[in-house]
Amino acid sequence: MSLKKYFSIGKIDMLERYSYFWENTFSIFILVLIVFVLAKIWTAIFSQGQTIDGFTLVQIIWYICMTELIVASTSNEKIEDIGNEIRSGELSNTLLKPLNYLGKQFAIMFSGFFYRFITIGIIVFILAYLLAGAIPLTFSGIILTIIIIIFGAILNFCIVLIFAMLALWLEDSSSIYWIYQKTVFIIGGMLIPLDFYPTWIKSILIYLPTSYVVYFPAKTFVHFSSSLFFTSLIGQIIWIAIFIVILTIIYKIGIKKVSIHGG
Amino acid sequence: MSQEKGKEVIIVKNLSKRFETKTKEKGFLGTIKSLYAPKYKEVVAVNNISFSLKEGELVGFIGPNGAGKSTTIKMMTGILFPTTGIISVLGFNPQEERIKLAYKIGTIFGQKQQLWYHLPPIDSFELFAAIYEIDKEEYKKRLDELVKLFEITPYLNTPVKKLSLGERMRCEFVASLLHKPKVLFLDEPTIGLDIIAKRTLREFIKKINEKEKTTIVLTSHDMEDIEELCPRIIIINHGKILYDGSTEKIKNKLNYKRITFYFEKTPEKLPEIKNVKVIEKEKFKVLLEINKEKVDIKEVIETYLSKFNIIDIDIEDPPIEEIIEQFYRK
Repeated sequence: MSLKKYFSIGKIDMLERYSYFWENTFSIFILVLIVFVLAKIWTAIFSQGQTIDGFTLVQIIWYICMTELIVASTSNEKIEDIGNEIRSGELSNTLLKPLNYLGKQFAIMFSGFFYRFITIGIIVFILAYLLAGAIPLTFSGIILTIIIIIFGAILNFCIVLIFAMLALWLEDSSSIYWIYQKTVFIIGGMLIPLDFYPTWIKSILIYLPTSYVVYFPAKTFVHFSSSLFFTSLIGQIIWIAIFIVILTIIYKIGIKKVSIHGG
Repeated sequence: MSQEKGKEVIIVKNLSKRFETKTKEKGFLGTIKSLYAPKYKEVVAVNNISFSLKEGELVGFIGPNGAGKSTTIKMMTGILFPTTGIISVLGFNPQEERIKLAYKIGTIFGQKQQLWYHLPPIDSFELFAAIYEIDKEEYKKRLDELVKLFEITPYLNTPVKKLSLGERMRCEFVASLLHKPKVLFLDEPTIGLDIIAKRTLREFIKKINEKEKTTIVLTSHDMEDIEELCPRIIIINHGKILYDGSTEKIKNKLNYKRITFYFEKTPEKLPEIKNVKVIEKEKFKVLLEINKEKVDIKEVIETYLSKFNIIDIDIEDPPIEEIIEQFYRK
């Protein structure tokens, strides 16, 4: 299997996204607003200048900026498209080519992820700097954090694709995806770092896949340590492996079930 | 015909496809019922069909909506699994060797597009070159050839969304032909096109078939497409093959001709001739259908010429739609 073709798909998808750049960019303003409000709330909570569960105010603001950035760049605006594509038989367009359907979807999701991560990232970094000031970073820390963010994105893609494939059995799988998204918000660590939960809850949550999509990447960024990096990476790899097995099984069963419409 | 000599590229034997579709009783209660005890109805889309195609053949598949044409095409391309039967395309089993086969076939579905909507076609062409793993030099040569053949130079750098349907279809053809497919499946390629665009596209299809010896399977609602392009026709309805043979023969089989007379003045009464049916009558025009075996066309024309002032005469074959309708009625 040649990877070059999937790279080309990612490239052309990116080109297409940039061809309507401004339409895509407006949603960033909402994100700016949310981050601004959250930052104000945390500032009020941290008004005594204390440290809560190892987080300073600067760290918590950078943390929420990172989680918002991760959720915004991994959230897949195309899940319904994939579901519809599967249900309506549009996926035949891909199957008629020497392509792996899952491979093509991964290429497109990657391109969407990088597109959003870069465009939103620039704004979010400026915003975090304005709201909280600089956070101590090292070059190697940044590189390793980016690796964790990318693995988190891959893990998220696997979960999203499984939901999308469920469209073969369910009339509408986007509601399940909606529940998943909200789960990520609360127990994935988007709104609150898992450290703020009671210890026994945290000790369960840190094993769930949702934590490896958001919490661990964002925490690695603000609290970088090599042990945290390896914990995150190992957890991510295990979950990715599990979901790829599930995805492959669902796909193999599903593709035979596809009753592409028309007669 | 030279086509007879070619080797068989597509073999279909006893092919059947059955679908299960959920049925629901009417109303709210029916909806509730279908939640806990769904009922399924079996639909036979393709029912035990067999045929084979030789290299370089151009075959038309026709039939009404839901007849099983597209289902058959989808099974031949490997994207749909047959319930029973054997398919071999270019020596491949389409379902088991889908990717290998995909390198050798091209497809165009009139209602689906493969070009990237917001980008100029040239970007999509480059993508397809990568997908089909076409060597750079070869891609350049081939693109050049196709761009000339389909006359799309002016559209290469225009975003697809700004092209007309006819222009877009020509680009779709180029995209599907870049990898020199041996078999081309065209599902309603002329759908929605105006007459001129249709004609142009037909010329292109003919050229590809003649120049590259591409085997082409074409489905269309437009009988003119099939009459003009396909020497062989397969008529399919309710999943069964009703007719498989020469297009010419099926037209002659019925032995009917249609004659239209255009009058200078509205005729008061038309002459009654046995075995001549008046199909349409307007103020200055009459359309007749004649059974060639029973009546002499010359005789009919002479009768009319002697009685009326005729300005113009058209003689044509009945449209294939009607021939097929006769099949459908059975």
